[in-house]
Amino acid sequence: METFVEQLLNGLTLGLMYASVAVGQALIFGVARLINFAHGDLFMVGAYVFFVAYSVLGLPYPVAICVSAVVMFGFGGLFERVIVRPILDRPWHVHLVATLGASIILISAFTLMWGSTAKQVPTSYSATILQVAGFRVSLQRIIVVVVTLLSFLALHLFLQKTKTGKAMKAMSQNREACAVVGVDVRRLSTLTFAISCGLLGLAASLVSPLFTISPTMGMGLTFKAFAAVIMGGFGQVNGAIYGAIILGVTEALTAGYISSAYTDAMAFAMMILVLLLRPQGLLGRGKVGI
Amino acid sequence: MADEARILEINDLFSGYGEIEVLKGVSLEIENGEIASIIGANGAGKSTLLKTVFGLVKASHGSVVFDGQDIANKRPTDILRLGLSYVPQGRCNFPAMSVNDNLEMGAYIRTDKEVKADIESMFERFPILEARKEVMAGNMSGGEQQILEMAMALLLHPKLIMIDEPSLGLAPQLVELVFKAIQRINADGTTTVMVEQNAKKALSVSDHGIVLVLGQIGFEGTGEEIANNEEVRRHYLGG
Amino acid sequence: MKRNLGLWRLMAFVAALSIVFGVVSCGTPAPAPEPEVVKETVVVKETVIVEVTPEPQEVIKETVVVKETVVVQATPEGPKEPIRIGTGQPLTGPVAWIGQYYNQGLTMAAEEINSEGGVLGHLVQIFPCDNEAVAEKALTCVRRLVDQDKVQMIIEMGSSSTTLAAMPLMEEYEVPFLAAIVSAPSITDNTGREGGNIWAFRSCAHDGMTLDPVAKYIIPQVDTISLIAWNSAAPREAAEELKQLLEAGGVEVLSVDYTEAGQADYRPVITRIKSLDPDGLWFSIVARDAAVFIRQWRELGMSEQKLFSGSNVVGYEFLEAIKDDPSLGEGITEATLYIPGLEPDFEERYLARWGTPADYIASAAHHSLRYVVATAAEMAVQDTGEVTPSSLRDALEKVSVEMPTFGLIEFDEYNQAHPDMAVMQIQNGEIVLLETISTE
Repeated sequence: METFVEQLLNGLTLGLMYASVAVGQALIFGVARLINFAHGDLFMVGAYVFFVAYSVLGLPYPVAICVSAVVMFGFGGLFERVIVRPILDRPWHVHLVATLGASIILISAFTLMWGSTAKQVPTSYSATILQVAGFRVSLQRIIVVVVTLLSFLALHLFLQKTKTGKAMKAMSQNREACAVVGVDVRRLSTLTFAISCGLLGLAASLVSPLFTISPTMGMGLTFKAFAAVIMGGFGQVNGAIYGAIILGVTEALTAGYISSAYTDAMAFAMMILVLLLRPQGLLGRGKVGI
Repeated sequence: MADEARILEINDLFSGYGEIEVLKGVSLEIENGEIASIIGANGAGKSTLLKTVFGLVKASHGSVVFDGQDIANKRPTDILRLGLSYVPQGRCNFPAMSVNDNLEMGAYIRTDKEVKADIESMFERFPILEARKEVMAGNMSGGEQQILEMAMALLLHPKLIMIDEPSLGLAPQLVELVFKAIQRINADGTTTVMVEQNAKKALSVSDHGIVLVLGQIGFEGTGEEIANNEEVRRHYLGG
Repeated sequence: MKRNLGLWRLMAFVAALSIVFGVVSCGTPAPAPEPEVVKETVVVKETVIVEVTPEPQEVIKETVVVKETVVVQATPEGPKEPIRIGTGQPLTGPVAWIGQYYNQGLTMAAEEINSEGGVLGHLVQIFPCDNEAVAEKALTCVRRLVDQDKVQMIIEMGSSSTTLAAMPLMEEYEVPFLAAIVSAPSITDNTGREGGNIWAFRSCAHDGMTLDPVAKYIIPQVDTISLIAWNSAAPREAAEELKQLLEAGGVEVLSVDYTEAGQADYRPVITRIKSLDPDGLWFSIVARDAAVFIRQWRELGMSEQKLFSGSNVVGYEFLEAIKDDPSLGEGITEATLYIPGLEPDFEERYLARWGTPADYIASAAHHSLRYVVATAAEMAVQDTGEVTPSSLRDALEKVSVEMPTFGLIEFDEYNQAHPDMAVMQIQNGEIVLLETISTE
């Protein structure tokens, strides 16, 4: 029983990591009606920015996190202007080619710059092991969980309370109406990418000390996050978080009770199961909306 | 100062979608304070005319002068700021947001502090909305949503409001409610231009009737004149 | 107009994409150098074109002088044909680092051979091909290397699965092949002189040969054990084989798990192993992932278990990855083929040349060309006067060469060599040699 609870918690932390990528993907889909197949690779970019800030420049950990989040905020805006904006009004298959192409370019560029060898950036927190309610867990992992949850809360408040956040919600519900009330659709799309990537920079700086950084680290994440977005009901930010957690828990329980060789298979089987039971997704209303 | 009476002047306007030209030289004038109805068969270009004026469809030729300024091909945001609001056909609200939030979105381009008070005054004006304040817009009836959309547009205190098909898909008693609301809006000083399928009903409340035929002005006159015109009756008012 | 502009942008984008694609992902040298151009050696992926140091240039000049003399002496012989060697490697994708090490080792061996004047005057050229560790791409690589690059020999295909896929085609093409790092036993099931594939050779030991000594080493130390292997052909085979050997020796195998390369979170698996509480753990996870694994292992408070590794965890890459806390690796024991620290000279040269420490792959790649293939090529030139695929093959069969670290390399009737193994352990952040075992 204790093992089961521990496996649930393992799944929860893994799910939160997927969620930090999935929320941005859901937000982008909601606002720009575009599936960003380079999203996991932008996470990779964030991880390298953090690596440079923390390991190369030797900045203190909290400062390095902020640097990564801020740089990625800017990079996200730039990404939108260069890659996304020219094709925003074009059909979905153009979106697919453009963002997949961007993914390949990012992976190749970072392989050129940093090589394909993985980098490790352990912090002193990753070696500090705490006993929490009978479970052994590193301080770094606790930081990941707490800060990720806080960032989700901040995003939630932003979408619920601020004018810009409401406009993003509005965009996901009715684009034409947004144009009619005078929302600058393009500016909002840039801002959405910037915010999503800022979140990625934050998440990457939190998670990287636990794992390794390499140019190909994002590929799997893109599709895991995409599965979470589909499960959550397209473009639903909260749904994407739930979807990601279901994914993480499924993986943890599979690895914990069956075999880790089947984690991916079970995760995607779970996605199919959710869609069979609720074709509109967990929180979907049959229509798109954040 | 003849111009002062005219809030909107359209001159020889051409526009369309890509290769397909829909408006082929439309010229018309809207007097300050009137209710004007644009009627016509499907595909005559009624909605395109409103969209072109609002900057959503590109004008290829001609001018649109609103309140003394040429607004042809300006961005919708700028046109809104000049005092011209637009309520498109079909649902134009945010279904998963509350009525209150929808009204806030209606005032999106406003940055002044009076927005809250204005929203309150909208509730006074349309008590039906006040009762639904916290309800998701998508959960309201079609007529209520139509009124919400007009209220959203009015929050910008427009000089002119253009409404596309306000009665589309509404039950008869709701149509009544919506037309009452339109007359109310007009009585409060906002010039109103609407496009309507329900031509008889629209003309009965209009000062000015315009019939679009294949992208050009077919007939024009007072609401009553148009309603009584034999040819118009035969073709557009169902006998 | 607006539509056209969008289209132009899209086309420009696609053009940019294909350029980047062309430059980066395929990573092959631009057109293959003409046979007469002897200065250039290799291009590996995005790494640099080999610079020619002053010495080799002098050597080349000398050769040219000799050649002129030869010409004067009226033997109308052109410059000596270079030896063209192909290799298929994953240069892109999640295991691209394997190809990177491999090509660095190979490139360095070619540079060394060429700086000493080549193999009896024949310089060595390397032709890498990216197979992305995918079987179909491995076949494309074989075709390209043979048909287009005209290689006389292929060294390595990067992984057991690509090797197994490519072997029949190489046999059809009659091009000799040397496996130098891949370890699936099945590769040598159908090779050798008794009616098998006579074109394929393997200089490294396979898991069937290495696992027996590993099992014998583990059995006396534990009663129960859990196994974890990287989910790829060779490690899977190894885990299954080892399980049988251990069970035959009376050790209870409590669990066998397979993990994906680059997997981030091992906590669920470790949590389960923790609840099973075995005496020992054998894990065959590539070094870069093993560092993540061992951190999570320690995070969950695992300290009682004896740790045995496969996949060359005990090496510099792993030590580098845990250098913030060397105690993480304490006590990990591995019986392996490459012994870091025994060849300080090679390791120093490698570090100076590439800026990263050598690992098993780099060393196996370097040695297989520098010693095995170079010796075979020399024999081929002496026996037949030229280096052709068939003369190289015949020579490989007869090769007998002492290879640093790995011992005597001779191919048996299955074209399989029998290098030595070492048992090594991480102690206080250093690699310590416990004993040497034979794989005969």
